[in-house]
Amino acid sequence: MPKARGADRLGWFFRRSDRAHGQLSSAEYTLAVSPQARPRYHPHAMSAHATLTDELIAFLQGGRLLALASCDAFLSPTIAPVLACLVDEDKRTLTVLLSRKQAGRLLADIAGNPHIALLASQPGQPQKLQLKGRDAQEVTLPANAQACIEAQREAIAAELLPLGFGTRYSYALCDDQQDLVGIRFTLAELIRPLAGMLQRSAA
Amino acid sequence: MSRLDAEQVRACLEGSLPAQLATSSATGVPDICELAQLHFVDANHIALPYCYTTTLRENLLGNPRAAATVVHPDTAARYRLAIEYLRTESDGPVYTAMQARLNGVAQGVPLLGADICRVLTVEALPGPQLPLPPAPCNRLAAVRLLSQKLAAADELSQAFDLVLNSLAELMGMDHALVLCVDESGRWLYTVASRGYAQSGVGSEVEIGRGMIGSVAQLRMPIRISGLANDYNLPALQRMPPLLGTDIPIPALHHPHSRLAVPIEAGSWLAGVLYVESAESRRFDFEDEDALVAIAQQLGLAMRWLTRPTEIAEPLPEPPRSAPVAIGPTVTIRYFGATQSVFLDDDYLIKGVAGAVLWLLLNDHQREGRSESSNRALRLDPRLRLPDFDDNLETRLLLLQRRLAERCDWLGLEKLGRGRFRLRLERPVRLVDGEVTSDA
Repeated sequence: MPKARGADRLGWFFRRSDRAHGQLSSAEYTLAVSPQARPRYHPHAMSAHATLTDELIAFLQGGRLLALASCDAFLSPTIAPVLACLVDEDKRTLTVLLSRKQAGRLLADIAGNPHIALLASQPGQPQKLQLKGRDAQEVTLPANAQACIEAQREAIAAELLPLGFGTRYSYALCDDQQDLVGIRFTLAELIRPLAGMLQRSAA
Repeated sequence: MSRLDAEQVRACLEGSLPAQLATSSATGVPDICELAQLHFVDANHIALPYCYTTTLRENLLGNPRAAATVVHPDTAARYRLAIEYLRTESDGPVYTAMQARLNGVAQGVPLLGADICRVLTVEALPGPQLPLPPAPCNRLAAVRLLSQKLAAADELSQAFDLVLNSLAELMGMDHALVLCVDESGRWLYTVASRGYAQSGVGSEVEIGRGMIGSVAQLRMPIRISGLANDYNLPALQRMPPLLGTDIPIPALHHPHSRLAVPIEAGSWLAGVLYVESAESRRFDFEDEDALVAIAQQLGLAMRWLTRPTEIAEPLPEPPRSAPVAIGPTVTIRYFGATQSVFLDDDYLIKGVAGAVLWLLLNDHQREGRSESSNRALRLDPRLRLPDFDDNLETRLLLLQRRLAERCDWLGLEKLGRGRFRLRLERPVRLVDGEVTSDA
C-alpha cells in the first residue's frame, strides 16, 4: 500500500481524514493509484472507476483555461481551446464545448481515435488538472450549453482581471460561438502533470 | 494571405498567458501540458524548456510531433502551431537565453536542455479579436536619437544621465538603473538611477544572484513581463548586511514588468542596465532589442570615456591654505577592512570610493591639498590601484553622487577631464582605528 505523500490544498487526491494517517484506505486506494501505476505523473493518479470530487468540479468550472488534445491515426496530436466544461451528475461523464471552427481536425481525430486529454489550468497559478478519456464522441449540445459558456466567460474574466487582462480581452477569449460542438467522454484518468515551469511550487 | 510563421506570432510565445502543448504517445494516447514560455529561435524554430523528465519529454522522444496553442497578449487572437521535435541543446546561445529567462520566472529550477523544434505550420484560429494597440513609441528612431546623443558625451556622468533621461523621454521607461561591475568582478554597484525617491547610488547586487545578477553572470537579457516570478528585489542585495553598510537598491513596490540587459564592450562586461514598470507586460521583445542596442552603445561609450588619457594630466596644484571650515565638527570614521566611510554614525560609502575619499581627506588635513587627479590616484601607493581598467572613473562618479546626495558641506567637484577638487566646508575629525586627529 503506498503511503500518502501529502496533498494539495484542494484535496484533490484523497480525503482530509486520510492525511493524518499517512496511509490510504482500501476505498481510497482505487481512487488514488491507477492500475497502470503512473509514478512519473503523480503518486496519486486515479483508477478508471473514479469520480470527480465537488472540489475538482468547482475547479474545472471556476474560470480555468481549458484545452483539449487528440491524436490522429498517424500519431500526430492536435489541440483546441475549450469554451466550457459540463459535468454530469454521475461526476464521471464530462461534456466539453468547443467552437467547431477552432477545433480543426480534432473532431475527425476522435472519430478514429477516441482518446483525448483535457487540461484545466488556473491563470497565473500553478494549479493544473489533466483529465483523460478513452471514449470521446461528438454529441448534441446540452440545453444549458450557452448558459454554461456565459458563466465560464464571467469566471475567466474575474480570473484574468488581476493579471492585467481587461474584461474585453477575457470576453474575446470565450465569446459566444455560433458553431458550438460538444464532445462527451468518461473520465478514465486524472493527472496533475508535472510539466511546465511553474510546477515546482505546486509539487 | 501569406503563410504565418513563428516570427509573426512571437508576441504570443512570451508567456503572458501560458501555451498549451499536446503530444502523443507511440500508442496514440494524447497528453497535454502547459508551458510558461515557448522560446522563439527563428521564423521556423522554437525551443521548449526541458526541466523535468515528464510525459511531454517521453512522448517527444518517442514521437516528435506536437501541437501548441498560444494567445496574443493584446488582441486575444489564438494560434495553433504544429511542431516537430528535432534535438536537445544543453549549451549555446538558445540554451543560455532560456536559462536566463527561467531564472527570471523560477529561480532554482535547473534547465536540463533546450528542446529545439521545427515549426511546421502556424494556424490562426477563427474567433473574435481586439484591435492591436499602437506601439508606445518608434523604438528604432529612439535608438538612433539616443545613439547620436551618446556619441557626443564627453563625461561618464553625462553618458549615464543621457541614457536614463532618453529612456524616459523617448521610450517611456521612467524607472531605470545603471549598475557597474566592481574591481573584484563579484559585485555590481548602482552608479546612476532615475525615477525613484531614493537614488540608491552605491547599492550593491551580487553577480549571479537575482535577476540583475543573473544578467551579469549569463550576459544575457532577462525580461519578465508577467506577474509570476521568483525574483525578490530585497534579496538581490548583500545578505546579511555588513556593519550597516547596505544601501537599499531602488525598486518599485510592485514591478509587474522588468527588463535587464548587460552593458558590454566586446568581451568586457561593464555592468547592467535595468528598467522596470508597474504596468503588466510593459516591455516586449522589441523593447528588449532596443535596450540591448542602447546598452552596447553605452558600453562602448564607457570604454572610451574611462580610457587612460594619453595627454599628460597637469600635476595637482601645490598645496595652499585650506578655506576656513565653519559649523559643528563632523567625525569621519574609516574602517580599513571594508574601506568603508561613515559620517558621524551614518554610512556613506565603501570600497575603492571609500579609500579614495579617506585619502583625499587625509591629504587635505595634513597638507592642505584639495585638488587631485585620476593619474595621481592611480600612482598613489596607498590605494594600490591597477594601472589600467580599474573602474576608477566610475568609482569617482559614484563617490561624487553619493556625497552630493548625503551632505552639502563635503563634495567632489570636477575640474575637467581627469581632475577634481575636494570641497570641505565643515571642520572634521578623522578617526581611523586608534589614530585620532582634529582638523
